[in-house]
Amino acid sequence: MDSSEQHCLRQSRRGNQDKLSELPDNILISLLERLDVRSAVATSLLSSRWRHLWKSITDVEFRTDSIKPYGDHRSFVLCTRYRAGALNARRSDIQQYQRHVFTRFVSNFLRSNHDLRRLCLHFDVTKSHEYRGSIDRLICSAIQAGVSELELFPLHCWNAYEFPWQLLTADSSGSSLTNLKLRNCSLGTHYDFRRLGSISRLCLANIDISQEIVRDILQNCTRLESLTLERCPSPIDLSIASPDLQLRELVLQFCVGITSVEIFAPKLRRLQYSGFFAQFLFKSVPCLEHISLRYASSNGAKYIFENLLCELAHVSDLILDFTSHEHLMKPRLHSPFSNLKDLTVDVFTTRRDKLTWLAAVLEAAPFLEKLQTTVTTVGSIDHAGNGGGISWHRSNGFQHHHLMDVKMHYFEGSDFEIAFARFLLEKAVVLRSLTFTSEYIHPWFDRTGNYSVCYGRRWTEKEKSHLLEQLTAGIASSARIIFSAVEKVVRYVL
Amino acid sequence: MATTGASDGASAAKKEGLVTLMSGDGEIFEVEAAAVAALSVTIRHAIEEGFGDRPIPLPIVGARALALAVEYCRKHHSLGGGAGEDSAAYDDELRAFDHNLAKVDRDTLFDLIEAANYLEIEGLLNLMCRTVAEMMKGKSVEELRRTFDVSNDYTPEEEEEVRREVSWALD
Repeated sequence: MDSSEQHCLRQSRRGNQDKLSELPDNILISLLERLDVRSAVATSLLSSRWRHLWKSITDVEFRTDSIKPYGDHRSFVLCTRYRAGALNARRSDIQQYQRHVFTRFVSNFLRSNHDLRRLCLHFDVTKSHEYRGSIDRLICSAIQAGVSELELFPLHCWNAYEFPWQLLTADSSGSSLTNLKLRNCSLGTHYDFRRLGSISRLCLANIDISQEIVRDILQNCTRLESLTLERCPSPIDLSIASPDLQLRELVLQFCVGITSVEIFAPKLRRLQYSGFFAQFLFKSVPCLEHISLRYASSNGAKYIFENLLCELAHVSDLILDFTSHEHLMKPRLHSPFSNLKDLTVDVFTTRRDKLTWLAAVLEAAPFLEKLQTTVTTVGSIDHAGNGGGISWHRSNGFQHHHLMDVKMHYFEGSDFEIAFARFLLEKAVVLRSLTFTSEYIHPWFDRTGNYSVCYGRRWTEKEKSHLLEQLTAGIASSARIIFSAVEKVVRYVL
Repeated sequence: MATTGASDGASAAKKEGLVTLMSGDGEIFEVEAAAVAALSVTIRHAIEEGFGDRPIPLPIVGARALALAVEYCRKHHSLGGGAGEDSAAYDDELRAFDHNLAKVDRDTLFDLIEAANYLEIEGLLNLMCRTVAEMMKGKSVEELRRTFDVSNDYTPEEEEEVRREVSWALD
């Protein structure tokens, strides 16, 4: 640094105060939580203000790759240093060194930090007993230290790391652990959910389960409010039933082995299902309000239209996602949806049909306020039975008095889409906004388990004004018509 | 900022649905009560406690930061219905607004963090903290000191001690 640079630096120091360090502790700690944990600890070298801040981090994620942020080359160099002169360090040596650095890092961190609330551990699995033992001990010391949320994710090797039941105390009543997420682990044969009796949220992802395991969970985790099974491959006829079940939320995602789900859960409010076709048997779900059903196989449509919708008359929001290769008929509905306020339908179909079925659902849901549709069609236009506009099923004089916001995603401007939009502009008398997007919401999971949106194209001004004319010609509506384009990926929380 | 209608003195006749805020440096803002109350927990509580007719004093919030915070509340209230940014209703316009707001100069950024923290506007606080965290990411301790003008008040002995304390995180 030459003298002029030093001068500038000094001047800027005099001119600017250190506003960052002046922020309150809680803000600085939340900033540290957004950095990788290694950088967060290193900030203690900044100044005395920062020395102990990292010890109050409440939420931390340890990943083998963030504990060694340098690439393989650096590891190699470090490894050779570690091995004191071994010139031809082998890959396994490097990995062994990295594991050593990882466990040393985590144990040092846990020793100094006493405020940890959430701990997330992504670690390599090896056959080494010593290494597994040290991971087991880290987990148990974190639980004993009062961590309330724990997430374990052994990498690379499915089913190879067994959850350390034996190290947990048999009496879990004093434990502060409330949230547990296990991914890729094995529950072993000696699973014992009495030792996890304090948890209220449990997520098992990519884990071999059985009805016996589910029963053990429901019986012993008496405070359980939320259960998530994600990509658990085992074949299972799932039964969610237990005396005094407190369960409020059940999430089943891509568990390919599930063929049927029986639910006797009087307090259940939220149900999310995505995966292949599975039949639902609602034994007792008087509080069920929020339902998301995403069927990845084509036999879901018929089941939803003929059986399921009849049983969902009391829900307040509903997401339906299905594929159909047949003409969609009007759904069978015994009674109207008396509470439905928010409806999302994602349909993939090989038939270009009028959206008459959707009009029938709207007619049966007089209190609906928000509607989102993504109707994706492939194949040629089927003219049979497609002439004319859309009409209500029961009474043509019906007007919808609650529908306020409608979004039509993946809007292509086809005749049947325009006809449906015009139908809404005409019949939904309090409609506030009608939004068209060209994006396609596709059920691809990102790491956090949310849906993402693919990019759509933008309409030109000319296309927009042409569409607008087609949509509104001869219709008086005060609704705002919006053509929206999204530049960034939007996360849709299921 | 013109829309927030900064005026001097609290003498203006009370209009329906408005609430008066007073920044730390004494400026008076008359703003829509519904918008700020929906986003700011602090102001909501103040209104509930019956501050409605008098200016609500916000001692640590400067006028400029307050104007921006109020603008944030108005925008998010009218477009997003008060929902956080994870909501699907968070559309292009709001995202562009947030993006622009995050581009303010360094001093304003920190003032906004303090303001959002004091006013308990969660979305704004998250937005600004995320912005600062992005500025911190990938920087060495020396680079952080330079970027944020953090002066090192350790004696060489102390620094050595801290370095030893966290040596497990440094190599």
